[in-house]
This record gives sequence, C-alpha cells and structure tokens, in this order.
Amino acid sequence: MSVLAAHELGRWYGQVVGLSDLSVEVEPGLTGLIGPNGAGKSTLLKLIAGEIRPSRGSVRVLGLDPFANKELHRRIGFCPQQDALYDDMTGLALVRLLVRLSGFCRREAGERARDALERVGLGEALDRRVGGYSKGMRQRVKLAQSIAHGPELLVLDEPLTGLDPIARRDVIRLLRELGEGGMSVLLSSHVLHEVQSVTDSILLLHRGRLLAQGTVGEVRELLSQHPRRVEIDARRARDLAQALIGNPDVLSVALERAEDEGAGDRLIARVKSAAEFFPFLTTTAATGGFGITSLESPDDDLESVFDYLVP
Amino acid sequence: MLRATWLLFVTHLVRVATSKRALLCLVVALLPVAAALLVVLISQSEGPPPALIIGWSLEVQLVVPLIALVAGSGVVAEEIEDKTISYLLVRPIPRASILFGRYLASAVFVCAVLLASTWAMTTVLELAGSGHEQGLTSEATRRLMLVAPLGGAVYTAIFATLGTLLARPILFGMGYTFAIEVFVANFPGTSQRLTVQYYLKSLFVGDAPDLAERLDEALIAVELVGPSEALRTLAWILVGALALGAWVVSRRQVVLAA
Repeated sequence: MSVLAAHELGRWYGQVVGLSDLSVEVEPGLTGLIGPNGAGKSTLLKLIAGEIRPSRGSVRVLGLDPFANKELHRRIGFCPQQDALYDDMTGLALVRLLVRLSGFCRREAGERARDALERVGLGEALDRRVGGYSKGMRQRVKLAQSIAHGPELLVLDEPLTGLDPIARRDVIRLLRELGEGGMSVLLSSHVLHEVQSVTDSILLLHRGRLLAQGTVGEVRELLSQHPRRVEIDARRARDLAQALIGNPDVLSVALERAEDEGAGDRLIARVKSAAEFFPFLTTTAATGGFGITSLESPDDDLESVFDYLVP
Repeated sequence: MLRATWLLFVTHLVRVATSKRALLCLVVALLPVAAALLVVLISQSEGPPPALIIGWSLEVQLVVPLIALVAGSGVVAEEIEDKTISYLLVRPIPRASILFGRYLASAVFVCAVLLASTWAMTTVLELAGSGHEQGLTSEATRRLMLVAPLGGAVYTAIFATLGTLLARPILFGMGYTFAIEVFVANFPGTSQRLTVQYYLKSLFVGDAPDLAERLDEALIAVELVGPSEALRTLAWILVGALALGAWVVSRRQVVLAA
C-alpha cells in the first residue's frame, strides 16, 4: 500500500494558494520533498499530518483520511518546521509526555524517550530544560519526539535546518538507518543536496504544484529538452571527441586542456539522452582504447535538476 | 479521553502555576487584600460590612472574571500562539482532551488563587475587627468562599472557549468582562439575567435576606433567583461553554505561521 495517495489535492489560505491540483502516490521508503520556500511543502506535510483539511481533492495516508484520525496518528510521527517546544520542560519530560500521549505507560514511555534522545545525540542533555538547548539540540528533540513511539511513517518538515555539519551527518545517518529498518520517511527541504544525501527518490514542488516525481536520474531523464553535460577525462580525448561527434545524441563536444601534461585532456559533451548515449559511449570506449580515466555527469545532482525545472 | 485529559491536566497544572500568567493572576488577586487594608485604615463602623462590599464589588465582579480571563484565555490559545499544538494534534488522542485537560488545570489554579485571595481579604478585615456585624461578616465570608471559585470555574470555561474561537481572546474577553459582566450586571432591569454575575449574586445572597438587604444599600436592588436555580444555570453555562469549545477544537484546522 502506498504511504501517501493524493488526488487533485488543493489547499488555499484565503486568496493564497498553498497547494494546487496535486495528484501523487508515494510508495514506502525514503522520499524527499523538495522545492523553494513557498512551494507548498509544509502545506502538504500538514495535510499529511492531519493538522489541516484539503480545500479540494483528497489525501490518504497509509490508506486513511488523516484529519484528526487517532488510528493514523498512532502510526505516524511528525516533526514540524516551527522552532517551538515546551521550553520549561526537560528534553526527557517532553518526549516522555508525548510518547505517553501516544498510548504508552509511564515506564515504557520513559525508556522510549530516553532511547530516542540518545539516538539523536542528546543522551547527555536529556535532563536539561529545553529552553536552554541550542537551535541544533532543539531540532534534535523535535526529531526524537517524532520517532520515539516507533511510527510506520515519519513526516519531517525541514528536519536538518539549524544543525551543524556533524549533527547533520548524524541525523542523515539516523534517517537512513530508520529507512533500512522498514520505516517510511517523508522529509522536506529546500536545500537540495540535503535531500539527496538521504534519498534518491524525490517529489519536486513549485508554487503549489508537483513538477516531477521519481529518482533524481529519472526526473533528469524526463527533461529531454534540456541537454545533459557529460565530462570525460581521457588520454586520447581528441580522438574520443571525433568518435562521439558522429552520434546523433551528441549535440556538441568541447575539449579542456588538463593542467597536468601527462593526464590527457577533458572532453565535455552535451548529449540529448543519457539512456542512448551511455551504451554508445561504453561500446566506443571498449573498442577504441581512448584511455578513459574518469567519467561524470554533474547534471545528475539535484541542484542541476532544480535549476532546469524552476527557472 | 480520560487518560489524555489527566496527562494534560497534570502537565499543564505545573506549567500554569509557574507561568507569567500566574504572576499576573497573583497581582490581580492582591487587589481585594489591598482594598481591605485600605478599609481598615479608614474604617467607620457604619454601613454594610466591608467583607460584603469588597467581596462582591471587587472580588466577584472584577477579580474573579479578570483572573479567569488571564488563565482561561490561554487554555488552547496559548498552545496555538506558542505553536506547540502541532505536537498534540498528531497524537492519537481526542482533540477535545486538549481543552479539557488544560481547562481543568487552569480552573484548579484559578480556584486556588481566588480562595487564597478571599481568605486573605477577609482575614485582614477580621484581624482589624472593624466593628461591623460579626455574624453578617462571617456569613458573607463563608459564601464568598463558594461563590468566588465557582465563578472562577465558570468564567475560565467561557474564556477557554473564547480562546478556541478567536485569535485574540484576551481583547475580546476584556470587552466581555467590562461591557457585559460589569456594566450589564449593574444595569437595572432583566438584562442582568444575561450575565454570569446575576447568578453568582443569586447564589451569594439569594437565600440570605440580611445580606441582600445590606448589599442593596450599596448597589442597585434586583430580583434574584433562588440558589438552586442559580447553581443549575451556572452549571449549564459551564458545561455548554466546554461543549462548544470541545466541538470547535475537534473540528478546527490550525494554521500556524511558519
């Protein structure tokens, strides 16, 4: 069963469109929701968490209508975007209270809260008041309360905001572990490489609309009208360029001289379709002996995809 | 429902008692005590007992609704203003339990503060021995100890519900307190029946002709209902307010600014 199924989903706030005509299905696993500020990410996540209702269309989460749905709320964890917590409580007391509200007894809630806080790296600070936490620690408490009750689906709104690089690395690792453990994760971010470091599967939103869905590569493949850049380091780059230029998928080639004299040159090709080009390149390289030492396609990264899709 | 209500009650009771709102409530609660001290200083042994006049005019008519407003308006609205309500809305609990748990905590706090305020005010007057009829003073004190907390519980329910409906419950609550509860309650005619004050006054002096007579020396006389009818009406107002609040919370979409 899909974790999220939205059909012609729309939500507006007075005259402002938060989300418009969104139809999408998200399968279990890790999925990134990306888009610039105002794209509709938080609106979609609030609809998923059941804080608000759609203005039109429908949304089902784990097969259920999410608004004020106790059965669903037993099965999801939500980390909101806003930096708001009960500042007068300790980290442990706060998470324990929220776990108890999820139906656990005091003892088990305490154990789960402690475990979740340790998993997010707050084991040393769990008896300190949340009001004294740094921004990064507050972000991690929010994450801890969302995972402590062991949900099937984790909904995270900008969970990496405010974290220092080390904490960010740890949280990314934790999210991957949770995904490997069978938990589905839906996380939003406007920082593209953050999402890419957690998952390859993305939903791309812009101005309340779904622009694209799939893996980064698949999304990139959809953009046939946008040429793709391929960079190849080869000892006989000039000969390779001659071999490639005859291929109809290759729009242009250019050579860059390497600084190191013995390293060969760099060939930069713009191609129409990666699916057609890479098999051709493999065959050409295998038969031609061009001395290829590296191959990369920088357009595969989300930043490029995003630049293409969002002018 | 009961478990979630209890958990939120216990949590909120500690928080409300240590909040800035609590401090403001305590300051307001000192007003009758200050008034009692003033009366002691300029005391004359004529006229109605001060415990009766201060108790009714200041404690019940002003301090009770104001303290209930400060504590009650934050019951749900505070969670929304602080943007912490998200954590509660995504838990498998009835949404109404957020209102009930936090209302109970606020009501307990309000009642405790009002009891302390009333006790302190009457103690000051008793210690000073102002020379007024001791029997009437004792009777007024005894009745105040019931009417003030009861009024606090009813007003807290009203203002808690107001907080589920409006973005700025304190402003509207102030308007309601002064325009309806203070003004209309002292306006001659049957419009007084539209106020909580009318029923609190009925409970206060409705079956005590001596107290009513002395109170009417200072205030406009009105025809009151019996204590049982007053109590029934106040109970209905409290239950009705909470039912409306629970209905609103259960259906309300909470849109928090980022």
